Amino acid sequence: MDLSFPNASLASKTCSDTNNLIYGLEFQSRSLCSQVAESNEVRFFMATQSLQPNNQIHLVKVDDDLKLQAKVFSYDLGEVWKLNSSPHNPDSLLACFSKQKLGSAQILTQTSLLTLPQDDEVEEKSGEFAKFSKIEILDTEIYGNEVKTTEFHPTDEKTLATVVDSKIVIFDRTTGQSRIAAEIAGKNPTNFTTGKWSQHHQGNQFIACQDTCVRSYDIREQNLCAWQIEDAHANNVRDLDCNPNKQCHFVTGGDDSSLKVWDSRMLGNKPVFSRTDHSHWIWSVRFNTFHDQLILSSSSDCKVLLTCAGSVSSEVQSDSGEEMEEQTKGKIADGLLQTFDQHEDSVYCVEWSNVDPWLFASLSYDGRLTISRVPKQFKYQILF
Amino acid sequence: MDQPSPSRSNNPYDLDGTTFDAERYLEKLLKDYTLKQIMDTETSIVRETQSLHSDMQTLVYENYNKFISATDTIRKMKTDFKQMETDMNLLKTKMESINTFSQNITGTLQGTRTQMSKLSEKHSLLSRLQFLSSLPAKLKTLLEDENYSEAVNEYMHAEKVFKQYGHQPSFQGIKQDCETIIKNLKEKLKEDFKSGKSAKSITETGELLLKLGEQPKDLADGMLQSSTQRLHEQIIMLQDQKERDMIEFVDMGIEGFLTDLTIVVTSYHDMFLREILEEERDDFHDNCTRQLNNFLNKNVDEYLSLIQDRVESETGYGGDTEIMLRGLDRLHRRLLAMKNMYQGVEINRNAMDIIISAAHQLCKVHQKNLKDHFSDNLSSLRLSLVSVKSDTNSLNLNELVSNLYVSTIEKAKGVLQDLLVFLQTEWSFNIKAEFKGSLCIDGIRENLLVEYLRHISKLMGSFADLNTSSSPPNLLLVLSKTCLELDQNGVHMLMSLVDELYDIESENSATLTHETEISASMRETAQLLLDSYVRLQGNNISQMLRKSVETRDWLNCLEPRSVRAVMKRVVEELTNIEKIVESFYDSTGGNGTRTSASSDSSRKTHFSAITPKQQFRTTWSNYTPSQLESTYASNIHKLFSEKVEIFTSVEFTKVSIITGIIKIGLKTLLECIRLRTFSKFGLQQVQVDAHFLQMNLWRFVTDENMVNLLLDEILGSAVHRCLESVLMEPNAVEIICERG
Repeated sequence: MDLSFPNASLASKTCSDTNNLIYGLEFQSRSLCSQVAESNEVRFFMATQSLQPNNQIHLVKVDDDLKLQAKVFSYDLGEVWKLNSSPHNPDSLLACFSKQKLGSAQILTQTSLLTLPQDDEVEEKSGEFAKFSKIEILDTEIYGNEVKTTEFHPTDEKTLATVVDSKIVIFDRTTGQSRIAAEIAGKNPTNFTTGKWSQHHQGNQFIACQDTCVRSYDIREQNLCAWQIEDAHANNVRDLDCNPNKQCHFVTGGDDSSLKVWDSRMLGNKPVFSRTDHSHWIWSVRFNTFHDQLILSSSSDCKVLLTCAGSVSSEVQSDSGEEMEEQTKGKIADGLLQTFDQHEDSVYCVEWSNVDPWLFASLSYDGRLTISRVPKQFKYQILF
Repeated sequence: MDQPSPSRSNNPYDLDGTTFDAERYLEKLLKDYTLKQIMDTETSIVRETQSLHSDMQTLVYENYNKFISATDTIRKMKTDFKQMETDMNLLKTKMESINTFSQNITGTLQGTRTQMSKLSEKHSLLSRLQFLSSLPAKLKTLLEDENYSEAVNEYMHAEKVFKQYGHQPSFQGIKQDCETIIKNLKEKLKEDFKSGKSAKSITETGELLLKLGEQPKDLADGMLQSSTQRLHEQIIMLQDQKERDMIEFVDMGIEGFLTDLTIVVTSYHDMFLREILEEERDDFHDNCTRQLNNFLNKNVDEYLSLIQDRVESETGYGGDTEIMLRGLDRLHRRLLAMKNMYQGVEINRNAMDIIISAAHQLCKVHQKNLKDHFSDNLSSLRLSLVSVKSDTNSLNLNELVSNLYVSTIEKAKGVLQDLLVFLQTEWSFNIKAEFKGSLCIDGIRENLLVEYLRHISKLMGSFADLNTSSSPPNLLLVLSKTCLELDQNGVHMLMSLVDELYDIESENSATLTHETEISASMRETAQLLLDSYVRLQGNNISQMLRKSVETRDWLNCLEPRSVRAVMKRVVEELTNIEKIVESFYDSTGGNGTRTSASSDSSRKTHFSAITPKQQFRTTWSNYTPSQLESTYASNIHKLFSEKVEIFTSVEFTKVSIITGIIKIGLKTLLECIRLRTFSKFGLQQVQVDAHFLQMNLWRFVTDENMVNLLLDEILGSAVHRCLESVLMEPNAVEIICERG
């Protein structure tokens, strides 16, 4: 096993046998996202989580020779808990960070909207990190102390949704106004853990996880719950992802170490697909945007699993002849396809590349980024 | 007398010979004999001569008399013949006159005689005509007397005449009358034939109709049709006999339905099949056979379906199997007898199928009972677990396991014994002889027992799914233990019991399920349940730890003075769990010494004596003043230690179970701590807590290093998440922990 030490940053390495690329960060990290608006190169953002004021955001690029190239930005606001890149503008990035409140022993988590510098602005200064051309902090403090995530609207560039404490707040960037779209009632409500825009419903629905429940809110009205699943998982729901190609389908992962695919039209607390292959909590789940039968999940058991859920994928139901062919050809049995266990610590993040359908990145707490591929046999099975 | 020995006829010396020569005789005499002898010879010759002479005289005299009488007779005859001749002449003349007379008479009578013969001819014709003309009346009376066969016979006679003279106008009236009568008769007969009360009368009627020239084909069809109708009524009648028991029911069927059916078939067979009817086409025979077969099968099918329904309801309501089988046995005999009765007649279905299907049905019913019984057991078990509330009453749990185990096994045994009734030797059928039957017996093994074992394994396994069921943890433990018992003893016992009772060769069979397969699935379930138990208990502990980390304000806490209460509760909880688990899986191999440490004081003394603590502390010292290099330390540490699998399978030992629970709890603590930010005192509190856990957890587990490693990671992460990472003096930590 090739072990890359954290201080050997920028040292990229290719493992010939598994074709993995490994990249190391100096600090712990639990945030990763792909540059969604970039359509040519495989690029991932990741950010460090250090209590010292020396955090960084790395932009890692996989070039044509399958080598890693990295660009490091310094980030002085605080440790980063969550990164999201804009689907509209490749230079736009959201980072949830936390820092100690001035003058009190309290932690405040907020969202910063970052803009990458244009290429020509970058000066080649050795030993120094690049700077963001623009940093804007969203005003979330009035709503709560702990921002869990802020999400770009899938179609509307100017709308952001923030999950903060027990509220979902919508920011309208054109007017600069914000409003509460949903709030859990009660005196000491359990906070939301995360949330995501639904890919469908004209972008009017926002799905959020709270404790063991998953709820979908129609943001056009306040506290209008479109549907909800109570007890989706036995313990906390940690992450969710919407199937980009199939309406109403989404996947969740939770503390009961199981991965479940749901159809929001067929609730009643029965998932349409369920696997329990991890041996600890699942922290991240992702549909492959091109072949949505492929689902990645990462867990604190230090593993990343590739699961096939062909029976509930969009390629099953499609009636266009072309895809029908694909379905009959590329049929892989449902279940666990591959285990990736190159990580030494809990893997909190995993992301598909939005450019190469067979490539994905996973990031473990110790700062190791691994870029792996879907094994060839599955790729061919799906393609041919 | 001394005679010379050669006495041949030509001997010239023989006195009686024809060639006797007296001279030579004398010469010889004189020559050969003495005087004395000569003298003697002379006297004897003289004497002989004299006697011969007298004989001659007597003969002559006698014959003379006879001549005289003969002459007399001839003379008398001569006169008699003369008289006779005259008489004869007289006769002759008389005869001649008679002859002439007779000729005269014949000549005169000739005309009258021809007239006479004509008259007698006419007479006989007239008498015949009289029969014909009286026929309609006769037929009518016969019909009125319902003496149909006589009527038919009469008609048959007349019919020939009609054939001959029918064209003559004088007969036409009679013929028409007869025909109308016969037509009526036919109709009446047909009616009788169709609505015939008994099969016997049908046969008679049928034969009469045949004689009357009905089409055999139509008749055959009609017969079958009407019989079908009647038999159907019988079946309907039988359908209403719900309250009778199976034997009575079958007997009724045999006496009524089957007997009738037999009669119909017999008469049909006799009528249409036994003799080949000449006027019919060649394929008539085949057709009839086919139709009879159809008819028979249809009716037998109908009847057997009725029986089948009956059997189904019987088995459904838990009727007496023995009585039912007795009934079916009779039916089977009867059907076999029927089958052997005719050649060329086939009955497709037989009672075997019903018996076999009854066996199947019973299997199903029993299986359902078994399943219900087991479900009941489970719910009562669950109830007793919930109501008792885990008072760590270890005896109680063990009792529950054995109760569940024993009642499961015994119930299954009972069912197997019950079903043995099918194999009793007194039955006329041998269920195993038939292919389907032996399949059925295999079915008892496969579908009943194996299925049952699988079912309970699955049912118990379903409790292991924590997502769908919220079972009390002890239930999982009890079920797991029960499965294990079944795996180790129960499955083998039941499987060998069934093989023995039903004489099944399971060892070498390719189709039958091997007992190891069931055992394996039981064991799998046991494992599943135990894993769930560990998960459940681990989650309970996790929840405590998680809440304690999430709800505390780690940035604003005071310097630690004591171990947090939640840690003590965790240890208490683990001790409770250990006690319960101990009752099932106590001291396993080399770990006995650890489990014996029970009191607080002894634990502490142990603690100070063991070495890993020292190592543990040295690891910690890495972090103390500067946390900068901590990531290196933890990475290097991980390099040399194996990954800790959290939610994994545990072994069936106490230590392994508790270890599993502890792992889950500690991993949760680690992940929760990573999500928080700590102040100096917060970190120190974590340090104290970790140390307390380290002091108390070692005795539960096999691998202390595993606990140490996790605690190490917890503290490492806490150091990492600390704004001002200054650890407490190890001695101070120890003092706080020992104070409790």
